[in-house]
Amino acid sequence: MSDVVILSPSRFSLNTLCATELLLRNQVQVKAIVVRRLINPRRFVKEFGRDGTRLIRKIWKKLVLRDSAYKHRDYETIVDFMKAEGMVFRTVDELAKKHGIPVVYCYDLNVPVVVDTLKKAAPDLVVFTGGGLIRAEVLQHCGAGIANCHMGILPRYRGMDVVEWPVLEDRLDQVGTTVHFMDQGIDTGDILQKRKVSTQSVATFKELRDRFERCMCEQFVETCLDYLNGRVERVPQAPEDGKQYFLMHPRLLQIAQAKLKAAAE
Amino acid sequence: MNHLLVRDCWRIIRETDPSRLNDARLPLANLDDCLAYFELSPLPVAETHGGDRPGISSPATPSFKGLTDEFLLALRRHLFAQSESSLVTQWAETLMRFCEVRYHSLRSRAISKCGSKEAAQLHLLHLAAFLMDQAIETRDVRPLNTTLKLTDIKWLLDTRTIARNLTRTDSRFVAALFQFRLVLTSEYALDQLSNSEFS
Repeated sequence: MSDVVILSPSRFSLNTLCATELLLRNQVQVKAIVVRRLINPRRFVKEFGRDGTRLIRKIWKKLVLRDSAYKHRDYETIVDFMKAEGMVFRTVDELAKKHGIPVVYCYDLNVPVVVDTLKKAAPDLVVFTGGGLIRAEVLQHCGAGIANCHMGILPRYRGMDVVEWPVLEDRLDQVGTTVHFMDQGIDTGDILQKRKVSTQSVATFKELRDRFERCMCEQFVETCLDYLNGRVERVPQAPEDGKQYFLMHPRLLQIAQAKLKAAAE
Repeated sequence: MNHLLVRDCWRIIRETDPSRLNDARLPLANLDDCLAYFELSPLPVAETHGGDRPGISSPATPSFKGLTDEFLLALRRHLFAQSESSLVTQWAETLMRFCEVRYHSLRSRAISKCGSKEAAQLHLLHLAAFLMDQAIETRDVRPLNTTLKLTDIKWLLDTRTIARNLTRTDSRFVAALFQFRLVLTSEYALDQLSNSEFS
């Protein structure tokens, strides 16, 4: 039986809840869940500096609205999927308590307590469900590595807003997700699996991202299981194979939104 | 709105003594396509690609710290001449990353590097012009994205003062020429992008 440690961005993370449940159902032993604490003024200042008001919207959606943010959608969201699968827990603590999984809290995933947890657990694989960049010291103690599901097609689309960038560049065939290993670069680690996502009849990025979320979790867990069972190979990527993208400017986002809408019509 | 500003500024520039427009940093170089796109007649005498000036040696590694106006000028000349593309790309990537990651401290970093607010503003305007030129020449939307963020900084570019500063005789005149360049080129690039003619 394989064992993993899960890295989580917050105790309310739907991705963490969904991935943990799916892994447990597939007889994977979850040795620990490392959860990043929510109240961290330094992180807030840093992220607000980078994301501006988008951070406030993100906090509002993920921490205040939570499940309610997904109401009244005429397509299946991650919340619908979780309900259909009988996933009833609302926080990582509740889920961990039920299954007897130790939960470790930290202000940042790169602190010594995380390194100690990983050393002690010695997992076959670390599953990353969000929580920022990971430094070399943590990467050294992650068994085969840290697997992550990126919202863009690698190696071409690295970095941020990679759902929107291919649309802006008129490359609708390059919208999709990639499961890969994390390294010290930005989305430059070995690739495990890519999956393209159709943008057909999707008129807004909000809907596209919701659809991504829904299928990402399943794809991520399936790929992790395939890797643990030796059914998928690591494919290295060279730094020059792709480009790093940054947060998209509102005027470019407006153009990308218009292109997505036009493609849907 | 910016289209009107472009026309208004261009009218003022055309009425300016041509000798004042020939700043060594080439604020008005290589704008033929953009001017044609907005149906603006070119200047009677203009240095459109910077001519053949001797190159200067590249700093050892690309960094904002080691960047000078002279080297930015050399990079833009290479861009216009389509030479040394790997050197230009390497610098563009580094500077783009720097501007994105250090966006909120750009002003203080530039002032401490250049020694005065005016010099810092001109240096960052020159840097923004390089990134915009890179975006247009290579049809890469990423430097365009960074430049748009730079032009959002009111301290660097305030559209309300460009026309007024174009009539001045002090250092703000050259800054206004660069600001005009950035407004013109960004409107051109955004229009091209909207019409899927930017790739």
